[in-house]
Amino acid sequence: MNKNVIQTVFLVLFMGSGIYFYQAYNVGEKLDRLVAIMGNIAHNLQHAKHAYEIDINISDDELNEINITKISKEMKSSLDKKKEKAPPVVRSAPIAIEADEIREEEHPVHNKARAVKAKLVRLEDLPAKFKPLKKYLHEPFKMGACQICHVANTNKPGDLVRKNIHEICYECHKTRYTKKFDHKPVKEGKCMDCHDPHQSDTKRLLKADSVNNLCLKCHDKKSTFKDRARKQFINMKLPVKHKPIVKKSCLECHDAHTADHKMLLNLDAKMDLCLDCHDDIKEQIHDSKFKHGGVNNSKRRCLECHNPHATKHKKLLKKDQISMCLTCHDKEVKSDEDGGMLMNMKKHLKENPNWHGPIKDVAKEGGCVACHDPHGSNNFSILRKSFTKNFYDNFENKEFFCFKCHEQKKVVEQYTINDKITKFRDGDVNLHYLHVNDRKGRSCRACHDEHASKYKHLIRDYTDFNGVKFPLRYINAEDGGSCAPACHKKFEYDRINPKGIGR
Amino acid sequence: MNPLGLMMTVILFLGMGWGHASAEEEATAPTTIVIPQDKALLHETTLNIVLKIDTKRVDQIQLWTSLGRKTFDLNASKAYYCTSISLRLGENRLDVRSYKNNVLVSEQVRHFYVTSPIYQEFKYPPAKYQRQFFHTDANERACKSCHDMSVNEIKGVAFIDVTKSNCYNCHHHITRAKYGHAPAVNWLCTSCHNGETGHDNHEYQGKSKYLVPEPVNKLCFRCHKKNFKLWKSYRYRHEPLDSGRCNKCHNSHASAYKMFIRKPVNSICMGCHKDKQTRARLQGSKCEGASTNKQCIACHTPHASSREFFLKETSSKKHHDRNVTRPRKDNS
Repeated sequence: MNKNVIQTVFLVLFMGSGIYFYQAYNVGEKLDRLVAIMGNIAHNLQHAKHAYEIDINISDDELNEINITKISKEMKSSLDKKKEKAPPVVRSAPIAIEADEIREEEHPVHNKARAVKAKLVRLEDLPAKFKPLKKYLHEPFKMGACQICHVANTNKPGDLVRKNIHEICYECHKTRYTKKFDHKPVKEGKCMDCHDPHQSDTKRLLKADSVNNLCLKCHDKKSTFKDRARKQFINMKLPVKHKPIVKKSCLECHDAHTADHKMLLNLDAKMDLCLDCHDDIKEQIHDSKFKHGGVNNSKRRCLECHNPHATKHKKLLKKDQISMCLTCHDKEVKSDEDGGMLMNMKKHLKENPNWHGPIKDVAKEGGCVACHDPHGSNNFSILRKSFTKNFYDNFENKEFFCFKCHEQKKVVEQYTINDKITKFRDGDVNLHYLHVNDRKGRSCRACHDEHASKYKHLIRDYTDFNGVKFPLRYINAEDGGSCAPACHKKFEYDRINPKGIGR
Repeated sequence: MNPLGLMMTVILFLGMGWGHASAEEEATAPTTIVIPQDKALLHETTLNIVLKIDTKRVDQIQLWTSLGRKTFDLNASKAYYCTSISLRLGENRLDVRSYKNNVLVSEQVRHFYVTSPIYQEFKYPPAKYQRQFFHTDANERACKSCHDMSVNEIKGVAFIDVTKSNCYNCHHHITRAKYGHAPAVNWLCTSCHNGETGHDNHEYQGKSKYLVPEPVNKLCFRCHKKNFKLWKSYRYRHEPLDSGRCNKCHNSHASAYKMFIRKPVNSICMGCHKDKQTRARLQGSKCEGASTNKQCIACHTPHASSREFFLKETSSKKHHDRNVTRPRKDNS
């Protein structure tokens, strides 16, 4: 009796814990997932047709009966029962193709039954030139079904079933010509320019050791191929290369056969394609308050400045950074911000020999993009940080861009004798402080030109006040200088023998 | 209109060109005062004079005014001489004496009146004095050989070297004072002297190329926009501000006092509010500042306020903390 009671208690406990664990650890879901994973593995296995490296010995009779692709197809259909295929999209007849039907992309069916009086050649019986066998084999070749392509029982063993080789290819590979633009070899039916019909060491039965090298066979400056391909050459010897080309292949952006966009691209080359990968830039370009006309309004968008393949210059720029900017800013350009005209920067830099640090030393300081963000910014003039347009502006509690590099001590310390803090002093009176901190604090740009100036310390020749250009009339001296702007009469300052300004 | 007034208007209308012609007729006189004409009404205490001198008969000129004597020797090659003299407010007498070998050859006299809006006694000049205008085509043509009187100012761009301005040569004295108004000291003259007239000086229309429209406030507020907005919002406005005559207290060119006011603060106020000074002292007004030497603007704002008596809105934030320790200088 006791035994029975204990047994039932244990049974109840065991069952209860079982139910508890089943629910707590989602065992059911996990089992489902496991089933799905197994299904995926099976699916992948039957799709990895090109991945076999082992010689399979199958007798002729067996081969007569077995059709691998058919089997795999059946397997696939059984696995994908739930996902029924959408009806094939009917497209307009493509250029230069005589296919009776155009289907959605699917794997070609190599049906030996179609070969006249099918005679299968064993791999061992293949002509010597095909040996040793390479890594990837064309399926009919691997099956030994030579007669799918070649004429049987002739004196010339290489004779083809049809005159044009591409017609033979399209017998099975019917899906290629469904898009707007075609690669020229594809258009001309020269499949064999790139693919080997029998075997290759490279995936996709290519005639070169990698995709990139295959492309560069034609798209190279020294190529002996036709002019157009040579014109669209890519010099891979240049130091800065686009990462996808190096790490992956040309196919990352281009389609080798046919595509909806120019240059055999899947997306518009000017911008959409680039932004497909460069997410951060995409956000910046679309969301920023102030946009760069060069990206936003130009004809070639990204390609206006960047080369998508390889260049000499950093960031895949077409030219070095400053000349790149000055290709557009060599004239007065209409601003996207307020419709005003932006100054002719090339002329400005040419006329004024003293340049601001970042553009003087591009390699070290960063050039134009040290301050401006060419992809757009939330600050005016696409500046990377906030600044002011005003003559009078209190810099306190505002993160002015200038102070990113220039120390704030320059304007904060009222008295100093340190030349490193500022040289704009009369004795120990910091004249920067005097100008900036008073009731009407002047902004940096009241006196300094951000780009270039004729004078030392980037002192402007004219300052804009209320729409009138007033000259600063700055004169540099050994221990000081003098200034006679519109704001005051000529004042001299001297670091060693103070003239008594600000007392 | 009485006959005298009619005559004056005729003289005024004929202007300097007439004077020039008559000077040639009077060939007998060795020295002629071309500019200005007699009984001129002036606004500045400096006056430009043009003399036509027969250098064969005269070798020295003395200009006598109530402020002193100015002597200059002559150069045989020139016939016209320009110079400027200082005047005082109110009536002035200019005595031009020509000498040859220290013997007085001729003597000419001119009477002027320098008026000022801030002094009660010089506010209303006698009727015989009339404004005269120099910059007419006829006058400019006469002086063309020595002076380029075209406008060489680029709109919106100030001169780097102000002496290059064509105006500078004759008018440089107007910016001599310590504090100079930016447009004036940069010789952007035509930004205000645009030749137009307003409803206060409508009668002078077309008499000079470089008239300033009066009231002048539109010109002032073209730059001083913020002030305009601020003052407009207040309930009480000072009369000169309301009538738009900023130049009543301010000298738009230059002044010895800050903010370009024509006189020190208190005297500028007392110029009109003369009664306030005495009444405050004698009858004990509520104004505590009047008995001490405090400035009026310590309590009152000169432009506009929403409080009675133009009392200031809030205390000024102008003087802020300057208690910063200065680093000691090394003796080396």
